[in-house]
Parts: sequence; structure tokens; C-alpha cells
Amino acid sequence: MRVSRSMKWAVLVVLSVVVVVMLVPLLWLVMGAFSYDGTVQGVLPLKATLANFNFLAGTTAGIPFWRWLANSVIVSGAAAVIAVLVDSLAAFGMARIGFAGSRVVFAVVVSSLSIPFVATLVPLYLEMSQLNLLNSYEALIAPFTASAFGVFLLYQFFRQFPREIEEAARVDGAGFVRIWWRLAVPIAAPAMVTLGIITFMDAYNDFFWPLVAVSDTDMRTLTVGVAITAIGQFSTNYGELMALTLLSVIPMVVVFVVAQRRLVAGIGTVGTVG
Amino acid sequence: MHTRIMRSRGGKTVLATTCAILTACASGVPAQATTTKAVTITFWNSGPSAGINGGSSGIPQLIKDFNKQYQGHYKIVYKIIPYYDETAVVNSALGAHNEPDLITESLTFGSGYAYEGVVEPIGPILKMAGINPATDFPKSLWDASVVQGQHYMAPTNAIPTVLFWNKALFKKAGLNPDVPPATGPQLVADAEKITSLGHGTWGYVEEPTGGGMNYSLQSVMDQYGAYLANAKTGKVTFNTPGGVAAVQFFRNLIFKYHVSPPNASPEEAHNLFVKGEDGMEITGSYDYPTYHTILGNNLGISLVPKIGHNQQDFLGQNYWWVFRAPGMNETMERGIALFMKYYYANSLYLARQGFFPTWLPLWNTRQFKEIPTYSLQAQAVNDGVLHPPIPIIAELNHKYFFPDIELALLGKEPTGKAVAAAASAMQSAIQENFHA
Amino acid sequence: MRVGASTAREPRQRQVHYGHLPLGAGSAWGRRHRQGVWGWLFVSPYLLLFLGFQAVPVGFGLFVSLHHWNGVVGNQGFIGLSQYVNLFTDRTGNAAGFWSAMEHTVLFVGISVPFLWGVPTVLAYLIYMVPGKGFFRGAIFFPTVLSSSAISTLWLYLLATTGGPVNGVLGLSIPWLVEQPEAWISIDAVTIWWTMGIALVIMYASLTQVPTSVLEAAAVDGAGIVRTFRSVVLPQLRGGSAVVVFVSTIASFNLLAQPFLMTHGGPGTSTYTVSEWIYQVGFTFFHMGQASAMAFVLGFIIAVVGFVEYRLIVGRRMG
Repeated sequence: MRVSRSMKWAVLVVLSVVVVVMLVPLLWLVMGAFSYDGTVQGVLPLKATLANFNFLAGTTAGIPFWRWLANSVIVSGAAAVIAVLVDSLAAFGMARIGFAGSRVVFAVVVSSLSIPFVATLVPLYLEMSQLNLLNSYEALIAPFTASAFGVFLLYQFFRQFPREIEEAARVDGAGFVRIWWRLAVPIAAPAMVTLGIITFMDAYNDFFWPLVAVSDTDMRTLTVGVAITAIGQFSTNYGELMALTLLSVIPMVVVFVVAQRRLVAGIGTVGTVG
Repeated sequence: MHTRIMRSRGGKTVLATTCAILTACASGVPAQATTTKAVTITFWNSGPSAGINGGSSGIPQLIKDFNKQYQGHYKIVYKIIPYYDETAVVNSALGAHNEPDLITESLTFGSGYAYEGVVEPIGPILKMAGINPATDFPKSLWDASVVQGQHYMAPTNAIPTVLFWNKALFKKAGLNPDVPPATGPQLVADAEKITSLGHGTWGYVEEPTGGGMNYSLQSVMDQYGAYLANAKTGKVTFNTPGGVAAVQFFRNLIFKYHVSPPNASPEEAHNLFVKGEDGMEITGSYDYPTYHTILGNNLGISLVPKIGHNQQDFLGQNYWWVFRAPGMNETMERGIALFMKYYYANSLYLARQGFFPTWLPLWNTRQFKEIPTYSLQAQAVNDGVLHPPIPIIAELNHKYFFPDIELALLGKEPTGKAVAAAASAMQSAIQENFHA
Repeated sequence: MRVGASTAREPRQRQVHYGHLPLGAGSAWGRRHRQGVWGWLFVSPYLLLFLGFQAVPVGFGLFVSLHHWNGVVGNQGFIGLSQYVNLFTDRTGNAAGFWSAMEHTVLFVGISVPFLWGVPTVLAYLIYMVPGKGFFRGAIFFPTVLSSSAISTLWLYLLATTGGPVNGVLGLSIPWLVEQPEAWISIDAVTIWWTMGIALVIMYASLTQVPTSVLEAAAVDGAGIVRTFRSVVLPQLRGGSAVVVFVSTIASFNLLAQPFLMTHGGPGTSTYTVSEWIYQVGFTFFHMGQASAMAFVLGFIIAVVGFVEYRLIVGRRMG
């Protein structure tokens, strides 16, 4: 596609404006975090303070920041690992092994993508209540472990697996598990890592389910913790909220910076499927 | 080949075990080292908890001291529940029979639980504590919390509505910075002078949407005698000429006198006041610490101007009550009574930590009067009016009262029509959720 | 012999969607039977978790919706479909609130999904044309890592009518959060700002799949940038578009944080959403039977909308 130089410059200008619009609000987030009551005059804090970060000391009752951070990281990490394992096994089973009814299973998996979360909210809550799993890590991890999206993603990868290699391995006497572990997984590793990252992100940023499943302040995740701090009984401490938010996104920023390429490529494969 | 499988499966097992261990550590409540005699009382609080020095001052400190004093006899286990979803948290606990013994929340929730029959009458417990509610609590708070003829809750702290003003702006506009407006016309006149300063300065900023006028509008409606509803009859009582006049007053500030910007967004009054671009604000006294820190000596605080017929204002508050929790017995009640007595006896400490006390004996002391703004707030509390003790009235208020009133404040509907519509919406909402 | 057989079958096998091994290799029935067992074994962890935490809850939810189910007290009696009937006939109270919230939510879906697809697609196309692709994609993707409550309170501050920075820069007094249609526009714009990174990445990847030969041909034909986009590129983006539209629709139906924190449901009740309503009914008023019924109706509506969208975009071709 031939693009003239002037057109290229025009587009660059437009895109730069977009980037500014995307990133400048975050400047206010940072400024607000250092200002009393979160009020910013122009660009600078109205009354600069570090008091908003007091919760880091761990003594602010009702804001156990480190606990929340730990909960989020543990839950998201466990969910990511389990989801990747479970999904890759299932995807491999459907793509390479095949079995009676695999078509049906696949259709069910894909259609489950359209179940709105809200439909499972109440019954899942009641179910966890019956199993006495409310306020537990299991309850927070469980909904993310069987990811239709993950199976879908990995299914595409495993489908393209060269048959010759598999045949060769089978001649060597390898069973399905070995083929999966030694051959399929390394080939699909980029996709699996991507899936892990996406699951981590999803679980980390999830709001609705952790809000409902966990009522014990110490077991809350960071994302919910930010929201419940946002609304106080009489007024909102915006400065503290911004400070909390700023810190809460750091794990995600780290993941993003480290894994940006992978992430972008992985999500992108969804687009290449159609 | 087998080793590979083992390792992958083993890895999963390690993971599962780790999760289990972490869960056990995380969700297990550390065992309390109790002697056989110490009775545990669980106490939840969704109201303010931390004192001025943050963290563990205020109520947590009080509890620590109580537990030390009554070691071996009683132990309070304290938990703060976030205001955000307090109803869901408490309801879940009730459903799982895990409810706390003692809880502090706003009156609107207590009334709901009282109607459901899961709350102990508080009279006997107060008696055990040697508390005489008729003389120890402000009348406005004690009389207004009757549910089906009985008292189930006692007040723990109060947040009256007050008038804040910016002394620097008053001076700049040629007004006496130490004299706030005391009537509606005075407020309008002062606001007009401040607005004429220009440069984005307003005399009085109000936010029509988002329920931000909860304190100010309700106060003025109460002043006109247009109370929200009657808990005994379940009937809405604000659809009166007084109610219309109250809404009209605030509408006029925007459209007739032009002292308030049209379309101020939620929270904007607060932000503009803090920035020094808003002359006055009628709101709850909870904003005092923030305003005082930023405006310092430029902050003026007084009673709400008498815009209506009577000097009244809307009261925010917290009450506590005792659930009929499993295991509730006389020993526990005695412990709760002891704690309540301890709490009220330490009202001065809590007052200095920023909790406006509802303990009348303290109000007459010199130390109380020395705390800035407290004498004023005491006056405001005496003139205070609460929401009626109808279950979830505050939520109904937000969802069924304000939407129609907002239309009037945005100038989209005639005031009389809006108030009538709000009354009818509230009436059917109350009927659906509550039976007197 | 095995090699020969598979070679002969290879071209056809590549078109087969599901990886069944060639027939006639070894004892066909025995082989497939053994595969079948292994296949099920591999799929079983997923199926168990899926059944336990997605399928069973859906079924259980249906069960709950047929009962009077109070969250505190529990099951209070079978009432059949009356919950659903009530939802469709009751003009007041919780049912009316549900439909009113549904109206607003559907409106939001209608006005946001086209932009949630359109803006990222155009931007993807622009990025495709210039250097620095990684930077632009990264910058646009960044807001997606923030939490919903964080961005909502941030923009509540930025869009304030009189004291807000946005109005300050524009020199105007636009009531972003106070009047309609500005409120919906604000919520829409903020949601796009927040989530378009994901759509951008998907559409961009889709774009890279467009064979350069096609683009070259268009250039040779003298097609300009816009012509190329409309007639040549867009049709190739069906797959990615379907995904983006579908995901955006579901996310929009689940809208909760932005209107809750930015406009507090106002002005009036115009920005109350159905997810928030279901949460209120289920967890504040604790009418879980009613909340379940509402959730099912919502799910049904989403499924129908999703199906229609898919058909419109992709047609009958199996994705």
C-alpha cells in the first residue's frame, strides 16, 4: 500500500494526539495521588501531601494494602497456571486426539462464551455458600480456571501442529501425554504464556465476582479494595483513592511492560481465527 | 517418560497444596488465647473507626483498652466493614448465621433488621449499663429511632448539617467575614455579591444530580415541615407547599438569582469550595476536617440558615444494636452493656478523635466546649431531624425521591409537578418494601 | 505404509476441523476407542471445572429463579414461572426497575458498540501506515490495565462541569456528567478510552492477515487510502470484527462501574444499568429468586443480540 509522505505525517500527528488523550489523564491520577483530598489546581496538587500513602504502613484500619496485593497476586497467579494447564490439555484432546462427541464439546465450549457473568453470579454465590467456600482463595480462583477463550485459542495452535512430528513420536512409542508435554506444549508455549498473562490480567482486574464472593476485608482483592475505599459513608477521600489506584496498577503495568509483545500477539491471534 | 508425568502432576499437587496452606493461613482466624471465662463479643462497624491519628487510634484503641481492662472476662473482636457493600456483607452473614453480636451502622439499616425481628430490644441492655436514654442521649436522636413502638438502637455518633463559608471570599466581596447569612434572603444577597466578583467565582454551588444535595435539600425541607415520611403510618409527607418551596429555593439559586452554576456535576460543590471558587456550602459536618486543613482560618462554620419556618437540619448518624446472634445469652448482653458504658464514658476521648458524641452528659463540660465547632454542632444536633426509621429508606430516597427532584433542579420540570411525582414514586416504593 | 497413507490424506486433512486420525490405520475401532478414552481424559479437567463452575450454576440459577428464594432465610417455596411472569407484567417496584435499567443498558450497547469497533479499526488502519507501531499500540493499550473503579473516579474528576480540567482546556462549560445526552456520551467515551486497546490489538492483528498482494493490487488500481479501506480491507476483517463486536456487546451489557461512580445513576435514573440493578436486588434486597430470573432474561437477550450480530457480520460461514 503506497502512502504519501505528507499523508504519513498527517496520520502521525493524528495518532500523537490520540496518544496524548490516552495518557494525559494518567498524569492527573499521579498528581491526585499526591494531593490532599485529590484536588488538583491546574496540573499541580492543591495541597501536596504524602499522607495519602499512609496505608502502606499497614496501620490504616480497613485498608490492608499488602494483604490485598498478596491476595490479588496469589489468586491471579494460581488462576493463570491452572487455566493454562487445564485449557491446553482440553484443547490438545479436542484438536489432536479426537473422540466421539468432541464436536459437541467444542460447540458447547464456544457457546459458553456468551453466558453473561451476571447469570452465574447468584447461583455461583449460593453454590460457594453451600460448599462453605465463601471468603476463600478457591472461590476466587475457580471461575477463571475453565476458560473457553483459552481452549479456543490453544485449539487453533494445536490444530496447526505438523502431523509428521506427531507420527514420528508415536512410532517411538510415546503416548498422548508425552506428546502433549514434550511436543505440543513447547510449540504452543508462546500462546500458553499469552493465555496465562491474559488470565492473570482478567483475574486481577475482576470486580463483580470478588465483590460478591468475599466479604472479609482481609480476603479482598486489590481491585475490589480500591472500589470499597472509593465510597465512604459520608465522603470520599479522593487522594487516598488515587494513591491506592496508582499502586494497585503497578503489578499490571509490570506485566504489561514485560509481556507487551506477547500479549499483543496473543490477543491478536483471536482476530486471525475468523 | 513417567518421571515427566510425575513432575507435571506433582507440580499440580504442590500448587494445590500451596493454595490450601495459604487459604488455611489466610482465612483461618487466629485462635484467641482465652481463659475459660472470657466471653467473645463480635463487633462490626461500618461507620467511622479510625481517629485523627489514623490507623489504630479512635475506636480500635478504645477496644484495645477495654479488652485489657476486662481481660479474662470479655473480649471484643472488632471488624470494620466497608460502607460500599455493607448490606450485602451483613445479609450474607445473617444468612450463614454468622452475624456479629454488636454492630454499628446507619439507622436506615437497623430499622430494617428490627422489622425482620433479628434484633434484641435495646432497653434492657441500656438498663444493665446504667444508661438512662431519656437524659443521656439527645432527644432528637433517641425519640426518632422507635420501631413499632420499641427502641432497638442507640446512637453512637452524629453528623449534623451545617453551613460552611469562605471568609476570604466574603471579605473580597465586601461582606463581614465573621457574619454568615441567617435567613434565605440573606443567603441570596451574600451569594449575589460573591458571584459578582467574577472570574469563575460563585456564591453558592449546588449539584442538581447525583444525590449530592441530600443534606442541604433535606434540611430545608425539614425546616418547612415537609418531612420525608411517617414511619408509623408509612405515608409520604413532603408533598406540601413547604416541600415545593424548599425545592424552589434551590432551583431559584440557579435559574433566578444565578448564584449557582447550572449543571454542576456530582461532587463539584465540594471541589470548588476547596479550591476557593465557591462562597458557601450547606453540607454535613463530616467535611470539616478536609475543609479546615485546606482553608485553615478562612473557613467559617455555622448553623444552617433558617430558610424555612423552623431552625432544623438533617442529621446523619450511626447507631448500634445487638443481633439475636446464635449464642446470645445474658452473660454476653452484660458484656455488651459493659462495653457500651465504656464507650460512652470515653466520649471525650472519641470526641477529640473526631467522632461527634451523642452522650449528653459530655455536652455540658468545659472540655467538650473547647473542641472547635462542637458547641455549634451540639446545637445543630438538637435541631436535627433524621430520616424516618423505615427500612432501607436511604436507598429508596436515592432511587425514587431524587430522580424526579433532579428534573426540577435542572429546570426541566415545574417544581410542583416534580415534587408530586417524587412523592408518588416514594409512596409506592415504601409500600412495596415495608408494611407499617 | 503409514507414511504413504497419511501423505495421501494430507491435503484433505488440512481442511478437516477436528483432528481425527486417518481411518484404516491399525485396528480402526480399537484405535479410535482407545483415543476416545484418552481424548475424554484430556478434556476431563476442563469439563469438570466447566461443569462445576459454569454449567451447574446456570442450571442451579434456573432452579433458584423458580423459587421464592431469600438470601438470608433460603428457599421459601416453589413458585414456578411466576417470577418471570411477574417480571413481564408488574408495572412497579423491582420489575419496573429492571426494565427501566434494561432500556438504558440497551441504549448504551447500541451507541457504544459501533464506536468500540469503529474507532479501534480506524486507528489500527492508521497505525498500519506509519512507523512506530509498537509504541502507538502500547500507548493506546495502556489504560486497559487500570481498574474500572479507578478510571471512573478519575474521569469523574476530569469531566467536572465547572472545575474540571477538560472543560478548562476547552474553555466551555459542557455538563458532561449532568445532562443527557452528554452523560451517555461521556460514559461511552470513557469506556472507549479505557477498553479500546484490546479491540485495537485484535483488529490490528486481523489487518496484518490481509494479504499484501490484495493491497498492492488496489494501489495499482489507483485506489486512495479511504477507498482501499472501505472496499478492500474491511471485508477481510470480518473475523476480527465479529470477535470485537461480540466481546464489546457482552462487556457493554455488563456495564456497572462507570455510571455508578461517574454520574451516580443520574440525571434522574437515566444511567442506571441492569447489572447494577440485578446486583442490588440479589445482594442488597436479597431477593435471589427474582435476581436469578432477571439474570436469565438478561442472558437470553444477550444471546439473541450476539447471535444476530454474528450473523450480520460473518454470515453463514462457519468462523
